[in-house]
Amino acid sequence: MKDENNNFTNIERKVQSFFKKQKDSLRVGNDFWSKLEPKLEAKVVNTEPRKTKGRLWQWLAGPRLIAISSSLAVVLVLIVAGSLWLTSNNSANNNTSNPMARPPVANGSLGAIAAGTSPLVINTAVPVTSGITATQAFSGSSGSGNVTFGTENSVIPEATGQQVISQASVTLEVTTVSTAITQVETIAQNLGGSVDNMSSTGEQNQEQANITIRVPQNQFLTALNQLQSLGTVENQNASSQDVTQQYIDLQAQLNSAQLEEQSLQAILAKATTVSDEIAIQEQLTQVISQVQSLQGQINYLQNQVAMSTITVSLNTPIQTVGQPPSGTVDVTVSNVDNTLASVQQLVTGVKGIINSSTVSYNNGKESATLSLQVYSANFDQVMTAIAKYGKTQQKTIQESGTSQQTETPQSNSPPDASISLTLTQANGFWTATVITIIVAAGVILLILIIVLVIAGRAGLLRKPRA
Amino acid sequence: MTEKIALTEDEIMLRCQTGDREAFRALVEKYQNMLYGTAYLMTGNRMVAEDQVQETFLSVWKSIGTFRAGRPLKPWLVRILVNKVLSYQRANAKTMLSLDTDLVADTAGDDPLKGIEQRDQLQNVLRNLPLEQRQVVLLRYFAELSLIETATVLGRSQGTIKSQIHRALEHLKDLIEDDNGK
Repeated sequence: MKDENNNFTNIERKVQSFFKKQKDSLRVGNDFWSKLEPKLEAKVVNTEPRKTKGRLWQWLAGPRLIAISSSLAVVLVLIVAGSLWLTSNNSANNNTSNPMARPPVANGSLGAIAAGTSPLVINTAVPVTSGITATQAFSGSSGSGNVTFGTENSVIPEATGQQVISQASVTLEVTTVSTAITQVETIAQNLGGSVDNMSSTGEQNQEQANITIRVPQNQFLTALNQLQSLGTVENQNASSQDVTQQYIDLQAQLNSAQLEEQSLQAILAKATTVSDEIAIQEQLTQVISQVQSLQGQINYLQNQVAMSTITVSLNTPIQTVGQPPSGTVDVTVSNVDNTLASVQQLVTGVKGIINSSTVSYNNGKESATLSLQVYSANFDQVMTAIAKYGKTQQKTIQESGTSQQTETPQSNSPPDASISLTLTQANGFWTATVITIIVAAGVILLILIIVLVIAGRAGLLRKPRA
Repeated sequence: MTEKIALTEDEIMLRCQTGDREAFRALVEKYQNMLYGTAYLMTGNRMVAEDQVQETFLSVWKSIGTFRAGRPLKPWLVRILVNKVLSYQRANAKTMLSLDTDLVADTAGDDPLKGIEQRDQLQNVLRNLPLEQRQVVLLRYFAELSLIETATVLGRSQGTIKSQIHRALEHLKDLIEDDNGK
């Protein structure tokens, strides 16, 4: 062993000595610097000594820092975009979680209606039961008016010299008509108006009432908003009519008639014969009548302008006496299978029956159709629960009268209320899945790039030297 | 008239980093032959070796600002050179002349090499070493780098370098003895 070490030391010395001898023969030419120096001109010299602030900074400095920071920025953007998308998706789902919520138009204010030369009409039609869709129809020529929705406490601008008559009719579905009548009266009085006309027909649960109220013009929209809150808006119609021209004409005619009246009065005073007096008197009577008529028309217009008219129709929900309730509901859900299981639990929980259940696939979308039977007493509860499973696309209910004896789970008879349920897979499920996959792939790719950049800088990707 | 600079390596580097060409010249003159010899022994071609040494110094001049004071300079230079030579060899793998052929052919022209016998012996010794061992031997005994420095320059572990040196010495022992015996 010792001999072997000595041998190696000897050979090492020999090699060292051998190479030392080679060094004398391996030299560059004397002109090496003169050849090198001109090339230095072309090279960029970093005259700034490198600052050595710390190991971390040195490690980060340069392309590594750019790569890491840009990658982080991209990841951050992806995360933020994904979060925003998910948030918006969730909020959209939350908005639809209460299918009975009325659309914003039905709840909101009509906003300002500035008067124009042509009548401006706003129609808001709201489906009685679904509460999902609302259509708005606007009519009116350009320049005739301006409609802005969603402005709380908006007031019709009192344009100087402009005379505008505002009118509206609202049809409301309310639980109790008599209570609603009182509430309408209160609204009118609180806003400085009055009840102009009121009529009611029908018996209990089938009551209907029409009330015409007058409110000051600047309280018109406030009144409409307050009326909308009394029940479900079935129909709403608001219009404004600019009567400025008519008012000016009437005023001019009145002035003219009054001047004529004054001149006739003067002539009458100067009349010397009875026949003249009679003739003038007749003309004067006509003119006075005309003045009064014109004054009446002007007063009416002023009254109409000053006090807006709102006709309120109050109805109770349409009920079919003697029939058990039934409903049809079409819900879009994120996962049909999971929802089916939930529906089964729900129906079993209220001692109901699933008559039939059909699952089908169409264009990659799963859908299920169910026929359910539940007790009348649980009908509303089941319908509400079903609506919460997803986004209700369509919902119709036919309920029995309250006077009818409702079946309860304790009854011996089978469940009487039928529900036809359709569950459809939402498009958003696949969109969300695809986006999640893309975002995840992007993040993984970026991490990979970072790792490769770092590995490349560290020299780990170079081929082993041969 | 050039002024002789008698400065430490760190001082030379600091001056170079401020763009002092005379300091850089001193640096070049100090290491040019060592680098040239290493390149020559790796490539076996004078022209290529000189070109690669020039490229090495140009790279050093260009990136001198990135050199951190206190670090050993020689391994840094050797590493740059070895990378240059390996890149060159990879790029010209097909046209590269073999070590032994070129060493023999290199006797033409104004070859300043002295002692044809020594060179032949060197040629014989080196050409028979496996490439990896040849590199290790060159850096360790010609460029006179330490074990750690050799390992760093070649990107191998110290253990690998040790075992390669061991095997190379064993190989060289036989080769030199054989050569001397002839």
